[in-house]
Amino acid sequence: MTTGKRDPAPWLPLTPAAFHVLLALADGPKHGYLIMKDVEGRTSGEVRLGTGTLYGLIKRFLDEELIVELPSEGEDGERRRPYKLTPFGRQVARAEAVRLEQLVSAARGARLLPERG
Amino acid sequence: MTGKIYELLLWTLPRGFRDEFGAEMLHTFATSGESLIVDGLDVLRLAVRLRVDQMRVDVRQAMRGLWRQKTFTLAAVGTLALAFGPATAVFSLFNGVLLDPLPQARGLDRIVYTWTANPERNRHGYPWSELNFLDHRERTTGLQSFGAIVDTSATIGGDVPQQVTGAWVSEDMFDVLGVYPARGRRFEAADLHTGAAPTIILSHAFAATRFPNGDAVGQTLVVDGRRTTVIGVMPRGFDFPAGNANFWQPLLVDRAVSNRAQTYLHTMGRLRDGVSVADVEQQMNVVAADLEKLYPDSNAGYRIEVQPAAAYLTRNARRIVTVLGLAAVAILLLACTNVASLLVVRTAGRQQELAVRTALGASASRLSRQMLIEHLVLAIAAALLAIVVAAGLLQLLGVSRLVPQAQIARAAIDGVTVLFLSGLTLAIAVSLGWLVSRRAAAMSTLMPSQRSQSASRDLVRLRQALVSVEVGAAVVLLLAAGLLLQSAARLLAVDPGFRTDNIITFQVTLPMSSYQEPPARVRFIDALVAELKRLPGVQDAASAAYPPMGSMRATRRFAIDGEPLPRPGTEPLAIDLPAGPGYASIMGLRIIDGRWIDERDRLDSAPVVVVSESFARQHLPGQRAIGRRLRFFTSRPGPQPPMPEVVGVVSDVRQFGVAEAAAPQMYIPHAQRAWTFGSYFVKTSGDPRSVMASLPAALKAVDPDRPLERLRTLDDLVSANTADRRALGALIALAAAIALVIAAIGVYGVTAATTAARRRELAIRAAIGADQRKLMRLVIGQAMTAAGIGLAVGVAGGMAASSVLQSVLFEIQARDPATYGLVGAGLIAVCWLATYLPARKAVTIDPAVALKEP
Repeated sequence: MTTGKRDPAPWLPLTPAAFHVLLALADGPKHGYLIMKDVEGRTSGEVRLGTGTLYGLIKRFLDEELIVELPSEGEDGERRRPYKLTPFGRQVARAEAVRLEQLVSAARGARLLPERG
Repeated sequence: MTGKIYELLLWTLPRGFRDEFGAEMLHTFATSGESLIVDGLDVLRLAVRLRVDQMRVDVRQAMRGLWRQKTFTLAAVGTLALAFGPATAVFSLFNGVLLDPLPQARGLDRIVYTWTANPERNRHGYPWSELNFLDHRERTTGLQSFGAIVDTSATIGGDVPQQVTGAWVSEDMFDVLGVYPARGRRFEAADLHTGAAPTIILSHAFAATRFPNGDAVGQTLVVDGRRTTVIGVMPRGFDFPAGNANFWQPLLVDRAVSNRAQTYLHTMGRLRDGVSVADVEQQMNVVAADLEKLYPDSNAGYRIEVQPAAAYLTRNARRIVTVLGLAAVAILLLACTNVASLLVVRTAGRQQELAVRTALGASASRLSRQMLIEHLVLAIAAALLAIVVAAGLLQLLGVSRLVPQAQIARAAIDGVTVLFLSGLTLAIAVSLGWLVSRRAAAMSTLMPSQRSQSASRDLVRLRQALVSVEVGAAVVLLLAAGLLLQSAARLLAVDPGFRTDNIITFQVTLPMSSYQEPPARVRFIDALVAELKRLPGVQDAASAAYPPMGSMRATRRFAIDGEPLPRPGTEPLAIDLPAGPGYASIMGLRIIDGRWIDERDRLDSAPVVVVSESFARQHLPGQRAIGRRLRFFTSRPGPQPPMPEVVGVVSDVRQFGVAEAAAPQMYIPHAQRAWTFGSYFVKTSGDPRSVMASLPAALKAVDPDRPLERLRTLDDLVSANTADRRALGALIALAAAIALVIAAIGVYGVTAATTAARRRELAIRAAIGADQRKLMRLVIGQAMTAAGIGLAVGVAGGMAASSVLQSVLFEIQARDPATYGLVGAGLIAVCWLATYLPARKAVTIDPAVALKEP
C-alpha cells in the first residue's frame, strides 16, 4: 500500500466506463459479472461493459490501488473474485461525481437544462 | 462453441494478463450471455492496447539501456549503418537501373536492338546503313514496328548559341518505344521528305528552359541555321537514347544518294505478339541473304543479330552492380558478425542483471522479447543512418563515373528500396535477437558458479565461429581488392601512344546548311588552326576529325593496290582518322618512315595517306609501306574514291582506350577529307587552363555562330578513360582495408576471451612447470584454427566469385595464384599478430594471482 496523500485530480476526467465501474463498487464489493449487471441495470441497458473493457479497467485500478481484490469465494474460486473500492478509489469516484455535478450546474445556468426543483 | 471461440480469443492477451484474469473473464462471459462478436471485439481491442503499452514500455527501457551504454550503442549503430548502407545503395542501383532500364518505354520485354554483323570477320554489334534499314523495314513481318535512331547534336540559336545533344529518329521510333509526345504531335511521313519544312520535338526539360513562359509547341527555333518549328514536347524524364537527348528530329533519307556501305544507324524493333527474338532474327537473316545477293559490294558476308533491349541497355551496369553487390554482401556479413560479437559480449556482461530479473519473476520469453526490441531499436537507428550512407555512396558512384550519371539519377532511394531496407533491418534484428536471446535464456537458468565456466566456454566457441565468418568475408574482399588494384595499375601503366601534357582539345560541329561543300569546311579548319596558333601561350595547334579515347569510332574498308582484291565482305578494316599538319608532333607520334601530313597536302593535290606501325606490320609485312597505294570501297554510284599513296608510317596509338590493343590506323590529310565535325588540339607552353579562356574568342573570329564543345585537357580525357576501373579498385580496396581491421580486431578479441576463460587452467599449468612457449602455442593454436577455417571459406568464396570478377579485370586472371598466395599469407600474418599479443599477456601472468581469482 502506498502511504501519503494521493491527488485524485490526475485521474480526471474518467471515461464513462471507468466511472461506472467505480460507481458499481461504491455500494459494496462485487465480482466481475455483478459489476457488469449493475452497470447494465443502472443505465437501463444503455451501457453494456464488454469483458475486455471491464477487466482492462479492473487491472488498471488494481495496479493503481483504486480497488483491491478480496479472497475468492465459493467453489468457483478463481473465477469469482470480488473487488472492493479503496479509500483512494472512493476519492477518485467522488471527485469525478463533483466534476459532473459542476457541469450540470453550468448547463442549468445556461438554460440547457431546467432549473432544479 | 461460443465459449471455445471466446477462450481462443483470450490467447491474444498477454500471458501475464491471461494468467491473472483469463479464467474469470471466461466465466463472466459465459454467465453474462453477451454476444460473442461484440465481446470478442472488445477482447481484441484490449489485447491490442495492452500489447502496444507493453511495446512502449519495452522500447523506452531499451532506449534507456542503450543510452546508458553510449559507446556500445554508437559502435553497434555505426557498424550496422555501414553494413546496411552499401547493401541499400546496390539494391537501389539494381532496382532503378537493371530491373527497369527504360522506365518510360511500354512493354520493354517486346523491344529489341538489332545489329549488323560479319561473323566470318568476327565483327559483331555494328550499326546499319540507311538503305539496308529501309529494305529490312519493308520486309520483316515479325516486327510490328522498326525504327532507326542516331545520336547527334545541333546548334540551337539564340543570344548565346548552344550546342545541344539530341537524336535523329525515323518516324516509327516512337511506336517501337511506345512513348509519344505529351504535347503536340509526332513525326509523320510528310515531315520526312527531304524538302519538308524543318520540324523538331523537344524534351520536357529543354522545352521548359527555352520556353519558360508558354507552350513550346508551335514556336520556332533556329536549329543549325534553319528556322525549325517545334511540333511536340516529350513526357517528363524521357531522354532516350543516351540519357541526355534534348531534341528529336526526323531522320531524312534520300534513297538516290544514300550509300549502302556507310553504316551509322542504331535500330530497334517491337516484336509482334507471339513472335520471339529467335523468330525475328531468322526472318531478318533471310532478308539479309537476299540483299547480299543483290548488293555483293556492300552486303557481302553480312548477317543480322537481334538482342533484347533490356540486356543491351544494362550490359555495363550489370557487371558493376554484380561486383559491388558481392562486396556489399561481404561487408554486410562482416559488420553483422561484428555487431553480433559485440552483443554477445554485452549480454555476457549482464549475467548478474538477467539473474536478478529472473528471480523477480521475469520469464525467459519476456527477457528475450525485451532484447529483441533492443536490437530492433539499434537496427532501426542504423537503417535511418544507412539511408544517408546509401545516398552518399550513390553520389560517389556517379562522381567516379563507375555508373553513368543518367543511371545514378534513376537509382534514387524510393519506396521499393525503403521496403528492402526495412526487410533487411527486420531480418538482421531478428537474427541477432535470436542469437543473443538464446544465450541470455541459457544464462538466466544457470547457477552462479556454473555460469562463469560453461557460459564463458560457450561464449568463446560462439565468438570463434563469428571470427571465422569475419575472416572469410575479409578474405573475399581482400582478394577482390588485390585483383582490382593490380588491374588498375596495369591499365595505368599502358602507354596510350600519345602525349597528354599541356594539350587542350575541343570540338566544333559545322552545320550542313553553310558548310555543304568540302572547300568551305577546309577553309574553316585552316582559319581556326591559324587563329589558335596566334594565341598567347600557345606553342602549336592542329586539327583531326575526332580525339582519341572518345565515343567516336570511324573505320573504313580498304585493300592494298597491287595485291589480289579481297572477297566482298572480307575486306580488312582500319581506323579512319583524318588529321592535319602538326597533329603528329603535338601528340608525340614517332615518324618511323617517310613523313607526316604537311601543308603540301591540299584538296587539289595528290591524295596521300600516313599509316600506323601496326597497319604496316599487318598488311604489308616484310615490305616498305612508302609508295604503296590504298584502294577504298564504296557502293555509291559514280567515280571510285581516289587511291592515296602511303607517304609515311608513324608509331601506334591506342585510339579507343588503353584497355584495347592498338589497331591499324590510317591518317588522311584533313584538307583532303574534312567532315562536318572536327577536333582541335592546342599545345600550350604553360598551364593549359590559362589558355582555355581565350579559345572562344579565337573561334568567334572565324565563325561567330559556332559554339565550342567538349573543351578539356588531354590529361583529363585519358584519365576519364580509366576512371571507372580506378574507382572500382579504390572502393573495393577501402572496403577490404576496413574488413581486415575488423577481422583483426575480431581475432584479437576472441584470443583475449579464450585466454580469459582459461586463466585458471593456464595458471595451473604454468605453476606445475609447463613451458611458456607450449602454453602460447596452445592458445594461439585455438584462435588460428578459427582464422584458418575462415581463410579456407574465404578462398572458396573468392574462387566461386571469380567469373564475376573476371569481367572487370584487365590483364590479370581472377584466380591469379600470386594474389591468392599474398592475401593468404598476409591474412595469416595479421591474424597471428592479433593472437600473439593477448596470448603473450596471458601466459606471462603470475600464476599465484590467477589462481586467487574466483
